[in-house]
Amino acid sequence: MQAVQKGFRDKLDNHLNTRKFFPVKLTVAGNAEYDFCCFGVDSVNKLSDDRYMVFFNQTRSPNGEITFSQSVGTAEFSVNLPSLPNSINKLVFTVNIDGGSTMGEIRSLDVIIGNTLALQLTGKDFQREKAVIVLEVYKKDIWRVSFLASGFNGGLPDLLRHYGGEESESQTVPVQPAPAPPVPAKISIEKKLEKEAPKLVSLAKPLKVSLEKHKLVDVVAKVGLVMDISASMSSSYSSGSVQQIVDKVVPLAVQFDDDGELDFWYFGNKCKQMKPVTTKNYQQTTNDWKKRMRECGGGTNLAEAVDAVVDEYKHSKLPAYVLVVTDGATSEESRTRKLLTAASKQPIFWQFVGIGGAGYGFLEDLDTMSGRYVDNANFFALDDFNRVSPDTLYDRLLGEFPSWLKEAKRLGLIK
Amino acid sequence: MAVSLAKGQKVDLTKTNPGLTNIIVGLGWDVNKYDGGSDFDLDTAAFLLGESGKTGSDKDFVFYNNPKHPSESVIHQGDNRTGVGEGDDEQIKIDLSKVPAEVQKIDFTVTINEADTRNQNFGQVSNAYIRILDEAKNEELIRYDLGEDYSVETAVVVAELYRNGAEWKFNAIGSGFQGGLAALCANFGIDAT
Repeated sequence: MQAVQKGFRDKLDNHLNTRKFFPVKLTVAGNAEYDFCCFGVDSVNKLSDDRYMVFFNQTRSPNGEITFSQSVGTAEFSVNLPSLPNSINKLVFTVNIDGGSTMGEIRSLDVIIGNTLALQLTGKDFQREKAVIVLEVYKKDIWRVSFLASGFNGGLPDLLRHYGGEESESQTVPVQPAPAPPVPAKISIEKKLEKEAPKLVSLAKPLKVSLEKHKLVDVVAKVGLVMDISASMSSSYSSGSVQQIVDKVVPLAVQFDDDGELDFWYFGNKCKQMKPVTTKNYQQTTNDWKKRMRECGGGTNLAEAVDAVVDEYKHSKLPAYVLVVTDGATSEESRTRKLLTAASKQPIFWQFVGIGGAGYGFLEDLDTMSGRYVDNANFFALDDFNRVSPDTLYDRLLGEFPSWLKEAKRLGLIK
Repeated sequence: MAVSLAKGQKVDLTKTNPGLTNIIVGLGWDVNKYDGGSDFDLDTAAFLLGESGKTGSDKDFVFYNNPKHPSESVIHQGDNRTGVGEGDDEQIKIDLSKVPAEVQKIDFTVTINEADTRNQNFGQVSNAYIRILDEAKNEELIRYDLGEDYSVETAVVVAELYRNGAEWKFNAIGSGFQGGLAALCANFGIDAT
């Protein structure tokens, strides 16, 4: 075994047989909980395929090129470079800390590749990092290795941002002209929020304006929120951005729902219904996201979600407004299409929102596909759900709901 | 069309570009992609060397603290980027016609400032390159991407211009040193203490 220092780079073939499986072992000794991950990124350093993020929640890449096993403080990856798709240009091995501790506080970090090269670092090699790129195995003409040992203070969200490619150059949100002054509403959403969820009271006015504009003030409906909890959403959960989405949807339930409850589902590979979100418990909605992510699995199976929601509302006497939020790359497309087409005879309206990603082609299809009894779905994309002003947000969320209500009523789907 | 060189390759500069006297040496790199740890501070320098491979005096070491050689043949641009050849991190202007006769070659180096205390080396630097521009035409003539040829070093002699009879040639050296700028200075006969 050769001991190397931080920054060491070389051709990998000088140290191991790159045509065979080899191990990459990361061990951290310290007082925090350490998570390990391997990102398989493309030539522009982006994780273009979620399935090549290999970690506790997704322990195997599609063809088993990268596998993961973990015990406390140690992760062992097994890597087979020849079977990786050509698009994967680099494997990045990372350690990150969830919680208040930093890499500067670790006792030691040991990195061993192929049982031939070993790097040992201590807390002195770091400062306030919460996420460190320990090792890179990358292709520049041939496979090479670099013990980078550099990182980010922001932890996993920073890593995901670095490799996620979701930074948008222009964050400009189109400013909508101010709507006409609202006519006083019959049901005061303001009063309700003031009493039950004072933190959300600033959302009352924009919502009220939008309700007036779309003539939805008197509508009573079930409201459901279906959140993508696939691996690529991790940063949105840990940054609190999903919780902020929940915060903004709660007033819709307070407004429309007969009991003020927001029905709530997570979907990954599986879809799980959670207990309803109310004005009393909404602030804790995403607290257990890590556990839920493990339960649901790292994929983005939209069909499972549609299936679960249809099951809940198919016998509903009230119309149901269902908001599905995803960062895209959904699987089981043809099944989703079939389910959604079948659901066009149900009293359910689907509002799909794509956030912080790209490649929503399929979701756009859902908005426009033919063969449905009634156009029961709408789609739009937002760079960041929480950067849009509440006025614009509610306007867009509610934009197509009225026409569906009208049509569904005409066809007798709802009363 | 610029000539791209590999490590150790030598090419003509003035022979293939007759009349060329004013050039810009541009150096660039990628660092500080990661916000953890200390910031990187990379410095470039030019060493004007005689037959022996040593400098004649401290004045032959052109860097941020001594940006202009007395002959005015080599001028370090520091942070004052001219806008020419946008993208270079640092630039050094050279007037070949003013280079004193005893100077046989000019070596260009990149070093990491306080590499030891900051626990940094070239293993964390990516996409480093040097290029030679024709100042008058603002045209890239020669480019050498250092690629993956360096790792735990803290100083790199990137390239050199050297006399070959009446002409100037370019040599893509790319050899690393541990020990930073001090090691380089010692190598070139400068007492940096």
